[in-house]
Amino acid sequence: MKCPDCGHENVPGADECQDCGGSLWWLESQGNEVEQSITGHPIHVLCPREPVCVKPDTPVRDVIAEMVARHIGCVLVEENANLLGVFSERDALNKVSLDAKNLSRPVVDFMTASPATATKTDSIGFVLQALDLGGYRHLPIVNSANIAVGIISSRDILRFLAVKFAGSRS
Amino acid sequence: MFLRELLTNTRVGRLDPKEVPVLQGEQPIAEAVRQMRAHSHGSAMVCRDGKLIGIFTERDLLKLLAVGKSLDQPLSTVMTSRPRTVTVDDKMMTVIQLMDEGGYRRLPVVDASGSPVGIVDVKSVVHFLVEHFPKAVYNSAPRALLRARDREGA
Repeated sequence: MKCPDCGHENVPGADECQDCGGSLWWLESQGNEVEQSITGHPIHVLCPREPVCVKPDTPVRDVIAEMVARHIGCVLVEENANLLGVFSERDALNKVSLDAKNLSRPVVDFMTASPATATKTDSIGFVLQALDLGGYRHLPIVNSANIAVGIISSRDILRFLAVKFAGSRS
Repeated sequence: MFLRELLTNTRVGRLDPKEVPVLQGEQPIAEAVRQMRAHSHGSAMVCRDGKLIGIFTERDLLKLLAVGKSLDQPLSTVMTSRPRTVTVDDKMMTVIQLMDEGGYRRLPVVDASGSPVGIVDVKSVVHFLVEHFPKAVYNSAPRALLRARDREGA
């Protein structure tokens, strides 16, 4: 029985993983392939896209122009490779559009600071949970040093599930 | 396939289409933006004689902000006219196919006469899936929390 969290092969019927101590008792009761895939596959199998990163002092006008030109819904705000925040279309609606003068101000004034993140080894289920509970459309993927290495969207996961398990393109 | 059956048998109405601002094409963009903020939603439906004729989204707003365009113009000049729509009786699978292949993030829901009912978006679909796989989703913890940082007794 393979642990969905660390990949360690345990003896069949084990209640917890001998390597990481994670609970395994519910694995056997998981009936369908979708659930097994959600828990068993880390998010990196969906190949998170490389994030577009900007510095905190970048004028929000330039950030918005970049988002339009690249057809993306959000950018990451970084300083010295540290993830400070996320700026999304929703931030533009809720904060920037209140006053045209805001366009000259730095993006750091409008970003959502300290965003929720996941690591590339977190399961698809964990990322789904974070997206759903937080009401986010995007989640930055960070490495152990909290440096952003990718970004995943709820549409990426939806596409994976629909194509792989529902044959939505056939 | 379990998921295929679920998506084929479930209708759009099950997603509880969200109520969003409904405006007339002559109204200024700024009014749509104000109402979208008030509703905490990223889109507004544009109607004439009670029928949906267009949709205005936060993406459209982003494009306007990028070029510094005035938000005093009428909505009809910047909205997406005749958007792709679904009805509450359409299959969930149709919504997912449109979102995947058409690149839509949200779809207006209309009734048989073309009057607006609401919007379904990617978040609604994600929430629907989470509700159907609660064990797999809510039992998922980040791996960093599952690994012991120090070996006990070492």
